[in-house]
Amino acid sequence: MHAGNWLRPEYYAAPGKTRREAIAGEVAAVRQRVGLIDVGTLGKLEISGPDAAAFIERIYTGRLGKLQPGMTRYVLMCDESGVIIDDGVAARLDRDRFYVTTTTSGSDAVAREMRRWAMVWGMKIVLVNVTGTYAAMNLAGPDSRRLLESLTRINLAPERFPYLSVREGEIAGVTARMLRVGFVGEWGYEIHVPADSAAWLWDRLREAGRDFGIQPFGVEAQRILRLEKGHVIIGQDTDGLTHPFEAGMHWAVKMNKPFFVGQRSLSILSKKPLTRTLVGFSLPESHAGPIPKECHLVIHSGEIAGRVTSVTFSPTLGRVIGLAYVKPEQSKLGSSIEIRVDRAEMIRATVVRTPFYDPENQRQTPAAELQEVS
Amino acid sequence: MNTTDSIRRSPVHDCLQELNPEWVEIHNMKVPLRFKDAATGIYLKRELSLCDLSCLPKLSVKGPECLAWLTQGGIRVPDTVYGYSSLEEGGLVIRTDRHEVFLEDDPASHRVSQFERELSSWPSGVHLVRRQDASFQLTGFRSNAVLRETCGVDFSQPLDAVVMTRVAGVSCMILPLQAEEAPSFRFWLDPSYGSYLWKALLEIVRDQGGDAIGLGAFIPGSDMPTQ
Repeated sequence: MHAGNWLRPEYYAAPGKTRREAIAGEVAAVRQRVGLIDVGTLGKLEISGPDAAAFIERIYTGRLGKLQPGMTRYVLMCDESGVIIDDGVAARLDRDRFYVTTTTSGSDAVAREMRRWAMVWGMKIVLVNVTGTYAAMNLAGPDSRRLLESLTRINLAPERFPYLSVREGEIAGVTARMLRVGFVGEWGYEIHVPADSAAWLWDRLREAGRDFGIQPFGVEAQRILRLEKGHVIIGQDTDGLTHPFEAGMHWAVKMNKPFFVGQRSLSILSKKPLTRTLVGFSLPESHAGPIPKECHLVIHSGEIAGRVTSVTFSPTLGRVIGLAYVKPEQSKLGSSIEIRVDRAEMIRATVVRTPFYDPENQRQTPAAELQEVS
Repeated sequence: MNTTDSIRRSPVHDCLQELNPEWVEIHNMKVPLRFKDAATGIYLKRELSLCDLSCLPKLSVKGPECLAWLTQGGIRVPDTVYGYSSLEEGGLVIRTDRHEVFLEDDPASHRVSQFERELSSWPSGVHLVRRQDASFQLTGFRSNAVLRETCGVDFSQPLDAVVMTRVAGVSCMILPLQAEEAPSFRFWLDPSYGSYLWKALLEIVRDQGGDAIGLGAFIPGSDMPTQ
């Protein structure tokens, strides 16, 4: 399937299985054993120099200046009007060196915008777009650590390599950066390696994973897994006008920082009442009618109140889940919302808490490694 | 030599594999030594040929102190931006910006690989940038015919510097090599576009009567016709 300029595996066909069964099988493998997905399409930037920390503190909405070397943090980028334009993960490799990921289609625009700001602010940084230089793959699932231990001398013990940290070392003889992040909601490692060594490492992981029942998974399974975890995709769950407060991302915005791009506009917006808000919704397990699709409308008192941005049948939870923009007065947990589906049929969904899956983030704790999802 | 388990793989590996070459391992990468008999390789190199040189280790050094640091390390950095020179051990030095220098080993030298190993101890004001470019060489008296079809820059006149341009829509750095027996042009580009550009160029090269050649054509003694 096409993803921006890239071609990516939608799913891996399995003999005797339908498309839906194959995708459900990939989801189950990640939840119960271990899965491997190519995420090399993520944008990747290296930012170094004496002003690197101050620079990314100004670019992103979160607080990054005090991020410790060896740690990572989710980052959100807004334009001057406070509209969300990109997100990713910033890893601090050492005092003056950061490695930042961007959305798949965002790397060129983000790099261009960063260069512009660096010139405007006169900051001493070296910025390199290394999207094509590094391949990346995400090894995720309760068995991911045990599998990876067989290929590296890096200490993977949770106390030495905790959630949200980054380590550099060798895996199967390949120089690698590993980020312990959890986009799909399981214990996992996002492994970044020089592009010319990616096929070698992919094969070694597949070989070493045979005993663990490793399963390569595609974009469709990843979409289900991330939605179960309630993660927002910029550009899908946001549009050209969405600001962080209506997308439920207050937690990623530190308004009390001295400055970041978009802060002034967000300060004004924060004083105004919201006109829409992104919520999680689900259909009952017993639901047998039509299923909403992305862009189907949420109707409230006969008027358009919002739209569905993401929706899927969750094989893990056994019901349809999704994200939708609704009027703020509809956003209370347990509220019933109406969605107009194909042929103008109306169906009722319930506003529920996100993440849909593992809301307490237990899957990132050491005890989760040996647990399977029932 | 084990040529089945190389850690590094060319961005155009699958394209090369389809041509059923005789493989050799250079710089930890499995690369075509030749595709046809040696005499054909020599003929194509003179007339019109395309060769994948992505196996050559490369990197960029950036930052306000990079020129002084490289000079101190015995590397002769060109005086002008887009100028180029040779690494003493073999390979290329290209000044790609005021404070940016591109280095590439040749098939036998290991200077760049050495730099990469020293990665952790770089001084302030010097930044190493790992490079993974796809890299091709277009060689032969009819090279210009291929460039005329794919690139807006006129390479028919001698140019003694690298050119940043687009070839078949892909951003490339091109170095016209004046010292070769026939006109030669080195290309470097983002590896993600490697397969696309290789296929586009090879199609035109073949239309013009040329073909792909292996690295053997550039290694003295390795591509001599059998007596």
